[in-house]
Amino acid sequence: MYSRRLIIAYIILIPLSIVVLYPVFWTVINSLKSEREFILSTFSLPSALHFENYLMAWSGPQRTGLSIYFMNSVIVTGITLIILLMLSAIGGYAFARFNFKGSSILLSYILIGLAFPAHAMIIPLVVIYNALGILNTYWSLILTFVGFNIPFGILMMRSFFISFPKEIEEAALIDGCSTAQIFWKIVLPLTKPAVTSLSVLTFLTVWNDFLFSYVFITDRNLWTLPRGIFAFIGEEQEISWTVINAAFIISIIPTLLFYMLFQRELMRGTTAGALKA
Amino acid sequence: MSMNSSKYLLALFIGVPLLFYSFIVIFPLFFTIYISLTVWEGVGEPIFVGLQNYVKLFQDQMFYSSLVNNLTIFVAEIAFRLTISFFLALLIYEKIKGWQIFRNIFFLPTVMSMAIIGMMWRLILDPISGPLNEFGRYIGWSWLAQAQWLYDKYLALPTVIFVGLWRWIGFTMVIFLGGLQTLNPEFFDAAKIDGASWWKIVRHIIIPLLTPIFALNFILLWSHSMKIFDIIWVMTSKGYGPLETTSVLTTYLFVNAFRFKQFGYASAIATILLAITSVVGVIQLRFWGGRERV
Repeated sequence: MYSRRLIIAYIILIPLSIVVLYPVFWTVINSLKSEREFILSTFSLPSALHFENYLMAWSGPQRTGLSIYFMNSVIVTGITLIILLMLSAIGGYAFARFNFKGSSILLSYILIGLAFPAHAMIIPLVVIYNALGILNTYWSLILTFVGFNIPFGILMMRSFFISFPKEIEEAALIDGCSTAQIFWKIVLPLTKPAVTSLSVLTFLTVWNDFLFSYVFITDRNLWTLPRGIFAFIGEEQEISWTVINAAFIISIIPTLLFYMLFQRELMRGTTAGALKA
Repeated sequence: MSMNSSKYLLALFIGVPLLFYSFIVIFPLFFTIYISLTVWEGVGEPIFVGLQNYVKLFQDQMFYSSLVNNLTIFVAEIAFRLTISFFLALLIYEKIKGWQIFRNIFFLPTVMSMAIIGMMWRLILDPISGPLNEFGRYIGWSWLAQAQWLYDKYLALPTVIFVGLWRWIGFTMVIFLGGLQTLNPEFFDAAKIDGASWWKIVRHIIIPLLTPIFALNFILLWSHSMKIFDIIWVMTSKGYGPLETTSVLTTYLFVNAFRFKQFGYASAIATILLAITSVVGVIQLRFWGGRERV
């Protein structure tokens, strides 16, 4: 009885796994072929490994290559994460620990932001950034990602601080620490689990973004990975497909490493993060 | 500790994130609505025209086609993503040998960029060099050999929907798995002892218990289907954006704003998008409030 169900489960799961994995596998094998081999058959395995496709994608077939886009993605994602984590930590802490007049109204005001998609605000954002002279800079991306992730960040950090025992802070208070000292020296070092979850989810949103980079950044030296690679297939069609496949793989590798390292946080955070997706 | 220093600190802790958020999210929100009431090309003074953009919008065939495409995507997501990922979650929940491997494989596309996935599939679906059409030629199925996945007006939207499913099924499955893991296994054991069939357990115990998770997914699919942009743009846009068969609200907004420089008209589309996503978003918030109290 049980074994029959087991067989049915495998009959469903194994073919579906192949459907999920094959496109990635196809991209990998065709990123390692010579162009001639690719044209002859896209199914066959590469007869020799042409890693020069990766070098070509990295240094750039024409003016700019992935090395620049990769750095841009790292800078934008990194600065966004640092600012977002700081703002979420202080905001979340204040909302969790201080019961001041109007705190629940302010919290609702921030949380309502979860309901508004950034896509709908893209025109005023362009106008504002243009007026500030930061359109077509990293800051247009960073400010947008930070701003739209603040509600989720505060929500997440606040629920963490609420579940965090107050007694430690009270003991420190008796020992004569100021609120600021308590926050920096005692609370912040203990927030690692919440900070990790928030970072993992934000990393993926920012690293994978296409729309904002596409709209805000026209200078190709500032493009992030998905935007830069889109130029490979959309605007510079003379680039060999084997090189394009290599570019896909290069851009995916950091997220795959991330997935392997933080798999548990990612799975756990998905249900919580479902809110903001 | 002096009360005053604590007060300043509080003002700082709340104030900085609040200002940031007000400036990036709330101000543009009202700004969008304002621009939608004007005619503006992005330079010079916007000319106030009242509801004229909306009147024009409601007579615009392309706007309706785009909205219908969003709704089609939503219906397809409910029909396929919700059901397939629910049953996958049930299969994996059985904890058969290797269940973690299957879960990790299905979740894998979720960590990849939607734009990169769209481009990857664009190569895979290429009628000349793509493996799918090549396979059709190999086995001699002429319809498969000649299928113009992204260029045929009947195939383009279903193809894009399929690629979306490929990416998101694992994500929805993990949400269902999270729900299943909160259930008490004793329920099922008792039901199994009573001789209830697998389907009866699913139908009468699991589905009712998971109603909140279904509702959450329903809401997520709604806002996802309304906001969809990356995949449509990278897979089907040619020159001036996607054709009528795959155009959606966001792509139509983009074309009007950044190709035709009609900021007012595009903002009217944005305001409609805002209205249909935030209504459901507010319900979603109440959800979160409910869950947090538990």
